[in-house]
Amino acid sequence: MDRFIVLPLLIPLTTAILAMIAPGRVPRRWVVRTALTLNLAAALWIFATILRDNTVLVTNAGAWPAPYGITLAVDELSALMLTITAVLALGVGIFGDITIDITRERFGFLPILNFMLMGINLAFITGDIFNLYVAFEVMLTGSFGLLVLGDRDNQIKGGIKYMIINLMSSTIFLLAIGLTYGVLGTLNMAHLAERAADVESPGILTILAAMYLVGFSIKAAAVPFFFWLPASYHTPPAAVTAIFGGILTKVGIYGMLRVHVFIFPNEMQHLQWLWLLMAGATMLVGVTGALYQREIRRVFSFLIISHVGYIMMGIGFDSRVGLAAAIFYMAHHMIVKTALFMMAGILEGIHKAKDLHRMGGTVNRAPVLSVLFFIAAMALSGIPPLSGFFAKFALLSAAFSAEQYILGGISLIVSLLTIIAVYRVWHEGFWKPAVDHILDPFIEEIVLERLDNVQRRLIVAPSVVLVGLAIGMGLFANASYELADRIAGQLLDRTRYVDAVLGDYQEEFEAENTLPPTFQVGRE
Amino acid sequence: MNFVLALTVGVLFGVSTYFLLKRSVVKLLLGVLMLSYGTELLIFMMGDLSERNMPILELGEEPFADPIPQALILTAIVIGFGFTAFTLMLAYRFYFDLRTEDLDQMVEETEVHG
Repeated sequence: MDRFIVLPLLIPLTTAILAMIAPGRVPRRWVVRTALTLNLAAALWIFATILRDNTVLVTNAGAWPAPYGITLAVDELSALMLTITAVLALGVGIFGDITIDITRERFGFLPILNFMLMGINLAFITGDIFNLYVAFEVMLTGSFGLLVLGDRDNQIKGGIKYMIINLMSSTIFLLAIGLTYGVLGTLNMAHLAERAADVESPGILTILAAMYLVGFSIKAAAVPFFFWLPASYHTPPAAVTAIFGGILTKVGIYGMLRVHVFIFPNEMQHLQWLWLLMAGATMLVGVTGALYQREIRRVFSFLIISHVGYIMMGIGFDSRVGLAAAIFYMAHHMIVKTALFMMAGILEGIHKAKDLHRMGGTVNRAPVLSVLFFIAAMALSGIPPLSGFFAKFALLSAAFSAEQYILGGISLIVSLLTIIAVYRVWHEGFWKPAVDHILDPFIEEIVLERLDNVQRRLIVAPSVVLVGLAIGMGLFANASYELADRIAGQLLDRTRYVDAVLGDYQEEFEAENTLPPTFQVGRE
Repeated sequence: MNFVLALTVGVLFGVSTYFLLKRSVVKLLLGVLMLSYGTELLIFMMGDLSERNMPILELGEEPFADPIPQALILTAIVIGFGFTAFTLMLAYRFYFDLRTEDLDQMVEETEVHG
């Protein structure tokens, strides 16, 4: 049964090919919608199996035994990320295939979306660190395609910044992988975790961990590597921004969880001051940028950065409480942010404007959308009883139990500033009276007039579901937090993952009464 | 031999940093290329340079060279090749739009507020 964990790779791959050869717009849409539903079903099934059996699902590509071949392994964290990604992909898939313009769809919006989804899923499934690099590259290739698809001037300019910075981050990541192989002599994550634990923290592992930190924090858009994100995320259509804002930076966070928490747990004590400094600066810089911006999607782009800071802060406490809070926060953030970006797209379509000053009066024109947006915005800024409140509460109690009072204070201030930024969007976009305005010259909005009634309901439906999830996470906060705590516990307890991946290998060496060949780290 | 290779990697990284700080799109591309070449050479060195046999079991002659770094480099080269093609296309498109390769001319079109 374990080999079914390749389904989240096979389904998007097949879909992408089918979507390329599909005859016409309507069949293509239905192929992709069906496939994304299947992908969600597969992810839920994997998650349910893991939670029920309390196990790690492992399969080895080409039946090469670990640690020699490429291992695919799914534990609780991977399964959670797979499931959230599948939910978001289905929502954005439906939102995207309706709202995207015909040119972009003809030039392959849906196939590229599925290729990118395959890369993201591979990043979560793989148990081999070089394979994680390959997954990042597959994901990046897809995201480059989506970012410049449509060929508008702003997209090309944003695309160059996005591309160069992300290529550099991948190269640094690859450099770190090469050095890791030189030092520890393996690439399998479980094997790495085992060997890194034996090495009593010599300087070389700290340098490696720092290199991974640079690579991943460029991907996650943490200060001081965040400039590419606000320069590019507002240029493509709303559907693309929604999937980017929800998932891509969080794949970088997932890399941190895998490498810094799982493989190099001992290095966190050396990097902690740097880590927490980056987290605090990321929170502050992100929210300050959001306060300054006037375009709705730019505001939310900066708020992504701010929330990456929160998640990094939770990881940086180097405790189970902090980790659980970070995982809870990440899940909440992915769901709410995607919903907000989709609704921002619809809002731009209603007003034919990007600038908040040119919007207004939406409460009367689109009451359902306004209520949804209000709930999502309140969830983002952390008002009880929604998911954001409990996520921030968990992080704050982790900060105080780690005796990081300054950082806890900063997170409270940032929380307050987030409310101001989000309230500004709500007031300007929805609450104030409608304003007459000249049309934005460079806007490329969703043309709502072309949609029939069913389609108009369908593009709001994903936001309804996601906002429902955010409310659910708040109402059942105890159960959600317990799940996050369980995931954090499993991530910190390496033995189960290591045994599941390397069980046969260890038995083989124990049977011959010899120890696995350990690698001597280059130290006198 | 290790020293010469290490020096080459260092020079490649230095040159790539210099290029990455330039304003021209083409030099930016060259910088990224140099960076990936340096990285690939460094992974090559991780395979412990020495005279060994090919990693083919049927030859049966020990010791073998480590095949993993070779596989890693090959993968990295293929990925890098694809990205280079894509970046070249972007750079061409950039030049086509602006008739310049100077990144400082890249001013984002923002509307006139008011």
